[in-house]
Amino acid sequence: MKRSLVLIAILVSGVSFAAEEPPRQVTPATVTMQFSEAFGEMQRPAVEFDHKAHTKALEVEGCETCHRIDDNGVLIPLLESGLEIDNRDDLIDAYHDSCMGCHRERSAETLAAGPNTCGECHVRRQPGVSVRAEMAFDYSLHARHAKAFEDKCENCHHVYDDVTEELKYEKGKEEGCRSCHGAVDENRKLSLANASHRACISCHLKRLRSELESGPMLCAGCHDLEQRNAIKRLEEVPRLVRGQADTIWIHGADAKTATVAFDHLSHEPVTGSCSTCHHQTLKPCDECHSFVGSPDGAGVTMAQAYHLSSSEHSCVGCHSQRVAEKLCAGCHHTLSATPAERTCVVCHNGPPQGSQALETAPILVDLRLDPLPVPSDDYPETVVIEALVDTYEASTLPHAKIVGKLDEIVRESRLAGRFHSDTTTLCSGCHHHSPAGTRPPPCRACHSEEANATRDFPGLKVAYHRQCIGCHIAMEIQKQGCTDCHEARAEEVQP
Amino acid sequence: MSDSAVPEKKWITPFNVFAAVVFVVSLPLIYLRWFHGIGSVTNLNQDVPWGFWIGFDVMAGVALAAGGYVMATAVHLFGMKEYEPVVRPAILTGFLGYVLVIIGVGFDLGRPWNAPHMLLQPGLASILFLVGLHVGLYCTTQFVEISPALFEWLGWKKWRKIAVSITLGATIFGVILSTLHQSALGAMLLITPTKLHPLWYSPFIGLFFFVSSIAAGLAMVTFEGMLSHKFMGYRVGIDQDRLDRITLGLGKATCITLGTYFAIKLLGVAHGHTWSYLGTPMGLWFLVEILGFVLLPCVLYLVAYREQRPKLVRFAAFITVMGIILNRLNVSFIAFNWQLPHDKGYFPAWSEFWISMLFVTAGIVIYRWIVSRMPILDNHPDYGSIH
Amino acid sequence: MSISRRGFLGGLGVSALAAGSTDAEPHTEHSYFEVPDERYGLLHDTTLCVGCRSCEAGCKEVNELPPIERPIGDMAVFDHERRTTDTELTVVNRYTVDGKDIFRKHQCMHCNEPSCASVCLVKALVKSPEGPVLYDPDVCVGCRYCMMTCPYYALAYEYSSPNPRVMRCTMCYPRIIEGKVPGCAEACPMGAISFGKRSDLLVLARDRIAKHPGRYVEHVFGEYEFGGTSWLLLTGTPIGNLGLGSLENVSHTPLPELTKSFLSIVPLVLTMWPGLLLGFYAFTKRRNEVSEEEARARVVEALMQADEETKTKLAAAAERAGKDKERAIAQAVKKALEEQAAKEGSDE
Repeated sequence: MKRSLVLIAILVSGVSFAAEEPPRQVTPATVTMQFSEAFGEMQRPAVEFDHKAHTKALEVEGCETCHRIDDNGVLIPLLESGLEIDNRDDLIDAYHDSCMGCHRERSAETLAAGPNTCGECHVRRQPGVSVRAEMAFDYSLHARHAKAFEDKCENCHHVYDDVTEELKYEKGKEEGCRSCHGAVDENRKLSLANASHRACISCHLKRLRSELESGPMLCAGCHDLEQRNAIKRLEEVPRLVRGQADTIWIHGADAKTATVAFDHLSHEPVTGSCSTCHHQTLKPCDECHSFVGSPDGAGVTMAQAYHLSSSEHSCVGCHSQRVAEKLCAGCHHTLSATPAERTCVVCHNGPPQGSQALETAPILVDLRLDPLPVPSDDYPETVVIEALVDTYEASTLPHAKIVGKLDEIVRESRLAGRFHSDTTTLCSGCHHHSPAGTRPPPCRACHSEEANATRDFPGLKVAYHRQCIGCHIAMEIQKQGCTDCHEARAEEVQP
Repeated sequence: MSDSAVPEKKWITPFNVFAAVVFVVSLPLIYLRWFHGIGSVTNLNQDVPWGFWIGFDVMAGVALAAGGYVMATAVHLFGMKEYEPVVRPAILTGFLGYVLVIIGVGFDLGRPWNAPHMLLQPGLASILFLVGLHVGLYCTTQFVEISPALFEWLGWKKWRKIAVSITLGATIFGVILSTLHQSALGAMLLITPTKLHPLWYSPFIGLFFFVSSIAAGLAMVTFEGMLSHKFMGYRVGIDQDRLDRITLGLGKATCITLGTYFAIKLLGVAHGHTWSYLGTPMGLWFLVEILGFVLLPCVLYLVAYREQRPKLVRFAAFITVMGIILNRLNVSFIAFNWQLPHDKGYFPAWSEFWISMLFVTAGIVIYRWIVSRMPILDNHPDYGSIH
Repeated sequence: MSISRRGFLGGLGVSALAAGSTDAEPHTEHSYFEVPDERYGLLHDTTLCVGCRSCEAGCKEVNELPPIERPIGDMAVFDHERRTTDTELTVVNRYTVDGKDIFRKHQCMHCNEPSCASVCLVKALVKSPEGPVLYDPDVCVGCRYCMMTCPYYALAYEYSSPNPRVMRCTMCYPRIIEGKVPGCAEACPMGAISFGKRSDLLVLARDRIAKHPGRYVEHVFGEYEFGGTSWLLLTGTPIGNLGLGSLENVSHTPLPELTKSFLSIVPLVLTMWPGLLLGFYAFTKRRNEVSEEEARARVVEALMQADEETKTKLAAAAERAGKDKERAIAQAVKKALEEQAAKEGSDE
């Protein structure tokens, strides 16, 4: 029996607990070759082509080993002619001949070569997680390119003429690439990836070979997050001019509300690129987002396009993101995501639809904010909170200091300034659910002293703590511990 | 009746010395457990409330004591008279096993003096209630089944007659109870889907425990038959040849049972779609359990039966017994709470092993005492031959 | 049928006895526990919890347990994930999600259909109509099956006591039936714990989610998990990030349901096994009897055959003996005659 116990002990101690393995990462330089349209159901797993390894191995030989450079100097990805092969077997053969042909040649010359067997390329493994970062232009990068091309936009921008079935350049109609080029190739319209690779990399290659300053040539240069973030940024980014007005009236067709004066010039520096708002095309919003919604705008109505608080591209959505930031969140984290009705007029204060005044661009001036009052009974310097003194001493609230700080924050932000033109709005952050005025009601006017944990209407203790600590957490102010605001009472035994 | 003479009564034997050491060292442990709480002699913690005592003493103990009902069924219900010589030892082992389980449970319970409440205000939805009730009833039933031997020894003819007349009823009742409580021990884990590893958790877990208990019982009967013959040979009423034939027969039965058990375990994995877990460390451990301790002895039994090798049958029985113990320990605390981080894990304290060893040793000592006096391994001269 | 009448009746008696000792079979449609709408619950909003542990201190005071070891404000206490113990009926833990610290209070969830109450074999744990799951240490045997089944690891045991109890949050039952509020809810300065009727709290929780859509995960944990709990959770991150990974996306079926399939087999075995086993016994007995009869018949036949053979042999032997005797007599007569003749010849 002892023998069996020892055996059990050995067995038991041999157990290890299951550990979770992190998912396999697929690097940016990997091209996963999937052609399900041509091949139907794939018999073997898709090949994950390591472009980086190939560029390294063929550094001396150069890109032309695999890629063809056409008459216009555009670098064509391998087997672009494969786009025209319809027959499954022929397509397979084309790839196999190219890849394995080269590998066999190199092995024959005893050079480092890739695999020749099926399983070494078509490796059966768990699907990985791609860490390829999407590439996008911001104002700085665009400005650098514009400078390199001496502001000759036609070098990159084009439109497609349906009639002549050709690409041409139209000044004033330059768009971002994404407005036409989608995720996949559609007949002659290349996918965004294909289009941008041909355009960008060919140019970079040409410049590199002419020993000029050039952009990245390799996948990771654009698609590896770290390398992308390391791309040089201009200190002062010149304004991207495309004939846009500085200020405009927003008055959508068929809309009946009072119009909105929009300061386009001020909004440009706070966005990363035009597509922050003009997410699909540089046309005005109401061209796709009609009043009742249309297929062009994916059914999103005009009202939603401007007001949807969950969207990054709408006015209200972007503003909601701003007030969620540290400096604003102290008060704003308690407010509902839907803007209060009294704030509509902050924007909707233009002339009515169809009015003559809409023909001239609006003039927007910064609102003048009233100065804070001098401390008085109505606006105390400090407030001593001594109700509920029990385990802790009374707390002294630096009332004027807090409001002063809020005032400072509002004055430094043009957005805040627009909405907080009335100083009494600063009171509403703490003195909530009551009319704004010069002497707002104290907390205990509504929150009774008995702790009442039975409803969402807190008692006085919870009201104080939730309000104060909640704000400090949202604004990342390190005054969140008990004794940061009120000292412990000496006689009480600290729990 | 064996021809060998009754050996001289020696007090100082290796086993007796060992048993004495076990008893003596247990005394302070027993004191600690009752006066300073279970925590003083176990490594149980708030996350792991059932450890070695439940896993080994209770779960494995009940499974290994299943020989009683298995052999009683074979001999009394299926009429396999050739196994008559091992029925009484099997039932005695079963009875002592259950007595020790009850004592073991009493040791593990926090407030065993409240046990009568189980009958006064039972929690009828609790499978543990079922186990408790049936273990108590079954222990009594096994006592009734073994009582003829006791009465033969005492010479109480009338009592013996009564006991023999209700043997059939007791056997049937015993099988009913065993079916239920053997499977109930496994079914107790049905209510813990988030805590038992998916490879062991299955709606069929009751069935797994029941079938494996049959294999456990048969293996234990084989095992102790060998031990009895070796150490208590002077009392054994059959010769080695006869024992070998019985052993081979038991081996055949165990082979079939283990094969069935293996198949239904695989069904459990298929039913739960848990194949993907087999590649994980716990999955490998599961494979060790079912391949090394279920399939392997099954194959060994098959080979042993075809080549008529009783020694191999006994070896396979040993592995089977180990496998049952391993399975019960897995379900109690190895595959149970498998997601707990290492620092919250549990490994039994030496005192837990020691107390379990105390129970097993006590069982052996009592068994030896009974067998050396009462007609268990052989028959009472007044009451016919077991051949 | 050679099974004796006595034996048959005895078998039936066993069956009746067994069936009589049956455990109550639960009706599969009904639950074990009545869940009145009026029952209380608690709502814990983890976005409001700041980890001050006033709830722990309040709980200890109300339950007359030793005071908390580490003072409020000692953030080092959060370095390890803690669980409830026999002296700490509730604990607050810190979880770091996307760089932010989130705190969550953990304690017995007072499930609507508690697995602990279902498995207690002495009914020491019961679900009260007011909502809390109550524990009676005076009937508890200390089997700790309840601790085994609790999916929230909420129960603790007094392992160091010779008279141990299971220790868990009681939802301050004596206080709530007096109209007061549980100790933790009263102590919490942030109002992260709300107490009230469970149905009201669900409305409150949904309301908060609607008012602050970005702040909460759109799910009230405890509404349906394993049949629902009395403690409800509002979180800003999936519950798996807050130490309840094994409870994420679990079934809505209450845990006690999982034992019903087995418990329903019990009466089936109790009623079927006696007949089945008696059947085996009868079958075996009959087969033995038949084979014995056949054996006997064969013996008789063999004997008869042997008898016939013997008679034939005897007759043949007798005939042979007779013939031998005649031959012997004839030879003896012949010899005697020859001797006589020879003697007469020699006389002349």
